[in-house]
Amino acid sequence: MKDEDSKSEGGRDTGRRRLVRLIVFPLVVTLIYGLVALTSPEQALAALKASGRVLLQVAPALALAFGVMVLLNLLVTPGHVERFLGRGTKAKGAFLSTVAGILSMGSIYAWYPLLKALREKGVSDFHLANFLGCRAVKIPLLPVMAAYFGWAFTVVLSALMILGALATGLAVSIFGTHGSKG
Amino acid sequence: MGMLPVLLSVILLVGLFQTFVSEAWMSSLFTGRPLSDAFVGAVFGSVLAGNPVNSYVIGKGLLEVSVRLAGVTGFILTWVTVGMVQLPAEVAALGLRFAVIRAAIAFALSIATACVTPWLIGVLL
Repeated sequence: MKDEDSKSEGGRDTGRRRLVRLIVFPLVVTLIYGLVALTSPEQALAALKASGRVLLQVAPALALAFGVMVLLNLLVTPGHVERFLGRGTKAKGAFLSTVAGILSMGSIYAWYPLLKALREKGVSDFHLANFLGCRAVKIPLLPVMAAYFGWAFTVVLSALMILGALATGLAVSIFGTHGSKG
Repeated sequence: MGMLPVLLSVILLVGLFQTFVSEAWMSSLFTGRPLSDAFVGAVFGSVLAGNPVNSYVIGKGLLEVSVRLAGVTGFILTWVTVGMVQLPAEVAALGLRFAVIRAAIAFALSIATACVTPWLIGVLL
């Protein structure tokens, strides 16, 4: 009985801490906007307009990500994820998370809820960090980068970004939460 | 869905950065030394956020005012790999330890990559 009481109290504490964490950041940002609005209302308005433009860019991707999350919860079991992107999947998993990161489109904000759901299904920290790092390589943007900086720069930087993503994944899996590599 | 307030706050923060940080002010902080330029570029790339194409446009602008390629490379790299502005959203999704370690390693690797890239291009061409 005592055990159950302390467990439910622990759960309430964790829930309260999570709630505080989720509220503090939005409150700080609101406070910053309040201060900017007091000192320079036109700059605050410009910042709000810029945020609106970002939100419009992000909204479709965010909606798509929530749709994918619903499908993920319906169709993908932790067993599937463990087989392809779990902690024991080594080279095959590294290849998959690299390709997924490179092919992933849209704003990163849309991907966080999905990555959280994937982690809960068993995807390792190595693959999550590798995926996030490989998102830096954007195939549709390579010609744009080449137009600005030349193909030599684009090819060298893209190759180094993929190697860097793998190294980051490895380091995160060693020093991170789970302490095991992909 | 619990992450939505954090995501919206991050987007509001991006708007603030886009309004207050100018290209001219940024270019005044580069010294001409590759390592220090890579570091300064990486710091700016880390705190700014948005579409990667914006980082190319700003990067090209910095090259045109004689900022070294190492500085521009550090800037472009951390723009897409670090993202201090979106860190709270990453923390909410994947935890503080994961987000901080990933960002710190990505930042350090970006500086190393920024220093190596001009040399590698020189070797290959």
